Amino acid sequence: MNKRVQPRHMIIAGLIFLLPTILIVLLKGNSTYDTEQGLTRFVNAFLTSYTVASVFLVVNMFQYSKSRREPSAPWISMTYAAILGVLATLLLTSQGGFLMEENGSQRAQILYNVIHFIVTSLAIIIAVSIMILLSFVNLESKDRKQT
Amino acid sequence: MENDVEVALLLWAPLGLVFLSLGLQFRKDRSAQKVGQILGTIGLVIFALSFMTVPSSPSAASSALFVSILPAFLLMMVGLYIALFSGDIPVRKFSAKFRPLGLLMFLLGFALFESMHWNDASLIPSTSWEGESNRFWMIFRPTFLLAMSSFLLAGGYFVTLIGERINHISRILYMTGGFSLMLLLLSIFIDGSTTTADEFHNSVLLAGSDILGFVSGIGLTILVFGLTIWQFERKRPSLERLPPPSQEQLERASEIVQQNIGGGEDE
Repeated sequence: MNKRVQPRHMIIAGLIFLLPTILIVLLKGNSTYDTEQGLTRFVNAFLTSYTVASVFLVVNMFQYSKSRREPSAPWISMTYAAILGVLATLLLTSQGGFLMEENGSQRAQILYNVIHFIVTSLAIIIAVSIMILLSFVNLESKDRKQT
Repeated sequence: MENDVEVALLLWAPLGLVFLSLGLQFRKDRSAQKVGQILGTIGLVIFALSFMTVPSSPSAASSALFVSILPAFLLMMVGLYIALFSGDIPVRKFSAKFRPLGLLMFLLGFALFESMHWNDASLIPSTSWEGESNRFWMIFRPTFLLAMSSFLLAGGYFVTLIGERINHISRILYMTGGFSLMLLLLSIFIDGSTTTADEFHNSVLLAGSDILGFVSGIGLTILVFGLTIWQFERKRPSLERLPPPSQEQLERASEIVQQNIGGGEDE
């Protein structure tokens, strides 16, 4: 990273990242916001992304174990991920059964969470892809800039 | 029960194929990558059709959403691809004449995506499912616009820190992020064709919860696996000390660096 990027720049970037949400709350308030549903959505998004990303990284740990000759690496990472996952689930669900949204059964809720995760990921991936492509599209040639 | 099997075969199994295909792309074996691409395409097509084959499943609404947003995003991505590879770059693939066409396609794609919210005309892809607004559209659009404004504005700020020669990029990112934010603000004050401003406002705040949960979940996973790898790496013996490079080796390295790096004083 460039030496000009300092911790305070990271904080400013974080604040700019949150600016749209802050503006929306300031301009219209949060009177229509369903807090309980918001918490449920946060917890479901957290647990689903944690589970999916863990599965993806466990598969990669097998590759790591092969290349670095560490046969126990995938199993240890799996154990850590499982312990932390169970702890996070217990912590987040200890308030009551608030993980259920408008779905009839737990199975329906789990399947809905997977689709919800895919839709959210797709929206974020497309937004980030547009940012990257727009940046490269507008790169100017050094020669042209100097003339 | 029969319906469950149908849904599993026509919606979930194809989705599984798409994920399997993504996994196979990480393999070094070329034939495995090709098989993955074929499986992924088949899976995507069957999934895209599932809103017609298994319309009774609540998850089929996601397939309807996928089909309705596909034209807009294809236009946007193909447009940016053409604009990128017709620019003043060494790996140019298209004539410079196609650059405005690419940018126009991007704008048309964005306009089509937005018109789906504001207009219910029959020519525009529908955002309704079973007579009401598709629940996944109420997740996708707020998340997309919020992520786009947040990432582009923060990205614009980062770009200004990296170099002076790319201030133009920063301006474009700020402008596009600001435009996306303006659309978001308009949507929370003005009713759309199938949703009210209040419903959309709630959806935007819920999308904020989703993005926060998504980022925290992935962040925690990276932290856990990073710590595991660190645990193994710190136990490894350190590399053997090599003798310092000779004058000849330093000159050779300097030649290679000069051949591969260019740039002004600010870089």
